[in-house]
Amino acid sequence: MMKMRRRIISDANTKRLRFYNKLKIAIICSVLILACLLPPLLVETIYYLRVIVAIWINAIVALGLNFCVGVCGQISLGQAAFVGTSAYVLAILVTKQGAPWILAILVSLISVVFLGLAVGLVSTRLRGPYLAIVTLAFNLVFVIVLTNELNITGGPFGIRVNPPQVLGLTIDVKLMYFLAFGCLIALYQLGRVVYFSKIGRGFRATRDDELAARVMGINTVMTKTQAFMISAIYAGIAGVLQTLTYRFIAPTSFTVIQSFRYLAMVVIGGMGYLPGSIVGAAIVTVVPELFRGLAGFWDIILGSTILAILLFFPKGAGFFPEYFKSLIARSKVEERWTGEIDISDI
Amino acid sequence: MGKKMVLMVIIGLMAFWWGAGAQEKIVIGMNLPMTGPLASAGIDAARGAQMAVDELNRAGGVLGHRLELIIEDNKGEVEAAIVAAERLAYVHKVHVVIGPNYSFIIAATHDIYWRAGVPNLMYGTRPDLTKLGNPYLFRTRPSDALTAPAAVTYAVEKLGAKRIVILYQLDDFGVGGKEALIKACKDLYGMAPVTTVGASLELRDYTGIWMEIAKSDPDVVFQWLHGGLHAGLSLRARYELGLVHIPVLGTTAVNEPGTVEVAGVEAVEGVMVMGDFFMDEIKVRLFNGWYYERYGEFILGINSLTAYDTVHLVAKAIERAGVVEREAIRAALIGLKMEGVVTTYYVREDGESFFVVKIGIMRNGIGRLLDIVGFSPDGRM
Amino acid sequence: MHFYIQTIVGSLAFGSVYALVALGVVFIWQSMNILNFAHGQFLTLGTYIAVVTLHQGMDWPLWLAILAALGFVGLLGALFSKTVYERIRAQPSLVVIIATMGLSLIMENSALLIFGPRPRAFAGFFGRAMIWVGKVGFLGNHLIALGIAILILAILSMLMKYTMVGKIIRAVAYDKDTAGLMGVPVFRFLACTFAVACILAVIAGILVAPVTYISIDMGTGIGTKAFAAMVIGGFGSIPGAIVGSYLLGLLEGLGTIVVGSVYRDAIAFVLAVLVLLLRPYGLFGSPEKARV
Repeated sequence: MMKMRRRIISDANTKRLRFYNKLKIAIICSVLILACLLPPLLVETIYYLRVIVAIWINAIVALGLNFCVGVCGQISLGQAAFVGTSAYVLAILVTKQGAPWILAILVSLISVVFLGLAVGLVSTRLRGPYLAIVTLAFNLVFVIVLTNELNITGGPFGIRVNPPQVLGLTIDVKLMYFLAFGCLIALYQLGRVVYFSKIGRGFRATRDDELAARVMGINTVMTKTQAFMISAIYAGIAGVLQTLTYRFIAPTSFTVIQSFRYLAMVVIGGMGYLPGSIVGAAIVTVVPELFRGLAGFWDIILGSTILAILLFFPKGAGFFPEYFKSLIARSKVEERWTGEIDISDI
Repeated sequence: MGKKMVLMVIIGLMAFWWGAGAQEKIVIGMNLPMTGPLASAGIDAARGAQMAVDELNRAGGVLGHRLELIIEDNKGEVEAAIVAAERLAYVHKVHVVIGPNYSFIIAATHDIYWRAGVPNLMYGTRPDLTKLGNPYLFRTRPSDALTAPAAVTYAVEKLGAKRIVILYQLDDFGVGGKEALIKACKDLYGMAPVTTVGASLELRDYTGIWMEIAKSDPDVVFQWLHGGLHAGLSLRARYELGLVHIPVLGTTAVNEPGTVEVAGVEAVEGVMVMGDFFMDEIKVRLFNGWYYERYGEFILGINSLTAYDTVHLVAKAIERAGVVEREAIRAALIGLKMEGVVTTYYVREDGESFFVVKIGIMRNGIGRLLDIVGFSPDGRM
Repeated sequence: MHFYIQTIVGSLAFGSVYALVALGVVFIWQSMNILNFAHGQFLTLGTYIAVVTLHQGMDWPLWLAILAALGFVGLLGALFSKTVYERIRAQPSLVVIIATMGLSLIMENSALLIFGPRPRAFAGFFGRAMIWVGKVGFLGNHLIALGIAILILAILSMLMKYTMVGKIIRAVAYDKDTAGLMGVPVFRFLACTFAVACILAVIAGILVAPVTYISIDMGTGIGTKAFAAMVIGGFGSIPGAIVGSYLLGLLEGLGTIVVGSVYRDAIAFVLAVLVLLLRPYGLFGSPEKARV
């Protein structure tokens, strides 16, 4: 009887190889993080810092949206409305009600989560284009209400927010830089944990084939609601950060166009590929700044890029790491199999 | 040895040229909506400013220096405006910033210029903008605190109006105007408008609105809408519903060529205008002609005129200051007097500079000046 | 009282415009399973070409300019359908929606670059004539819009029912694989359907232009309302799209009197959401027609 067993290779050579690989990744990550932490210390011009802070904040929104759209396959054209909800609730509580900041932040986050819950529940009854129209309508009505309810929202004038003093330091762009970056890293790690967890697998199953997922016992109603809630939480945190950084919010910050930009970040980064959302956010935030002269063209380029990616590179920026990973995997094939091949319990 | 010398000479020349070049220009920055829903206001202003800059450069510049205009696009959004403002202040290192005309963007960005010490000559109309305590903020258009009481006074005293209706745009310009009008009614005559009606920027069908207005049987309707499509479609609807007997007192926007084109000459006939400028003023007609020559179409609205005048105001301030330096320019602006295309400007301590409200009426599609309500700089009529 | 009649006529006119656009979207949905977010842009493009470029810019007679624009946009639509839409059809609906939105963005900004932000006036066929019956004034343009829309709807339905071409289009929309097996050049007919949908949109734009004037964002607004109308009437059903559009027009016009002009735009969307929640398939739709 031939026993065939696939043995996980554990001789000294490959152990060392794996260790080096992990070290490589750790070093690259640390270098990247350090590089990201340097600018506020080196650069004096606020403008550049502000652009990068915008990247961090947009990346958080994109990550959340990616969960909903990329990982779970639920269209959300109203992400900007979630961001706006937390931003406005925070601003209103702090300026008009004079609430303490910590409390206001908590309340704003809780309210976004509830909103996400509500939208999520609605979404469970709808699919594809319906969901698109509903989330679109949600965002449109949101902006209309913001613009018209002057007494509550300050209407089209927006609300100016004076940032609090924390430990004697005024919150300025540099501080927000580190805060936003920290939130991004934390939320990204959280995202990875969720992605590889049972919930995450449920999301992916629902995305790939909802009927099959239901047959397998996954409660798709809950997964879809959870997806929206997660995207709402991320958006909510981003909304708080945005209010603190820019100190001024207006209805024009949360329109459908903005929702579409977030969607663009997800698409360009690769739907369902979490690190890609950060890359996508960086691209969509920075490139218009680089090409300020081409203001009118930028939206055309953005639209074309999205179209091109969807047509030819559905994986977006996720294409590249996957390609390299497969290259690396292929180069290791030789070393994978050693030892006896034992055919028995297959 | 020879090579090194040549290199040093080249570097030296470059440094000299760069250093000299850097001092040679007067940089005027503008933070405008060049794309997005508010684009026509931005483009108009950019053109007006460019015309002024070119004119000054042709005449030899100011204090011997050339002027350069740098325009940053804020897309009509707050975040982009803040970023654009910082770019202007810190990257382009402009000496002065002109514009924009949207009060909420001004509110969002003025503290950036304040912190950077850049004089900001804007033309939004919300009254409290100049009360923010920002010494670098100047306004080159009449604030609502001026136009609203003038409008109300005119309506009540000259037209004998008792029932007032306010039709306003649902954005910061319109809402600001509405608030100012309500306040003026209350403060001056203890009155309140019968009703207020809001029109969103996307609205194209004003029939419902005018039906609502007609139901209130007003003596006068204050129309605080943007020019072009909005004011034009509104007046068109009024005409089509046969409501031309209801007097309308509108903002400067009614006077704009775009509004008349959209509404049709017959629909604007007899509409009264509370304006900064009137098309039958000689200076305005001249300006319109130059604008048309250069850009192939008539002025889009007040923004081109204001931007043009503001650039000249800045130039005069620089001359008065004697140096091209932000702080000096700021100081030189206060107390400055200048006759522009639109009006005579007199810059007050708190930054206000426009103290004239003109009232006119539309005849045959052209706004004709009827009356000028002047305020002296210390606030009296 | 006469106000109400005028409002109703005006609302019905707007409803007609929504109906033409919604019909096009339903055609595309039925045949290609794509919700074309970019449909409004074809409306804008065609109207601009007809009025601004050809009629006003190059002094072509109006009827010729309109015909030329219809032909151009029809061809463009067919081209787009073959190149862009074919490729994305195979992808999950998520991708399709984002792709059409991207296309919409491209088209809108291209139009902005080409034509500039200034709105244009367009007097229509008979200028701004009004017909007075006693105290009630009927806008010539409203009546024209209503009349032409009804005419087109009637002609279309007859074409669809009684001509060979119409039957083939319906067959392809119903089941393209079988139609293909029957020897129908499916792709050509899909392109044809798309072209018809675009032509309808351009007609809608030209009908509404004298009333709302021509601006870059005219298509986006009407397109979104047409989607709402489709949802209200029943997603994917033709009579649903038409009824929903007229209903929406009426409710918007009359609703303004109740709710106040401030929330006029919100009416359409709130209605659509309500309908989706209570009757997910709308008034006339059904699960097969929705085919999601």
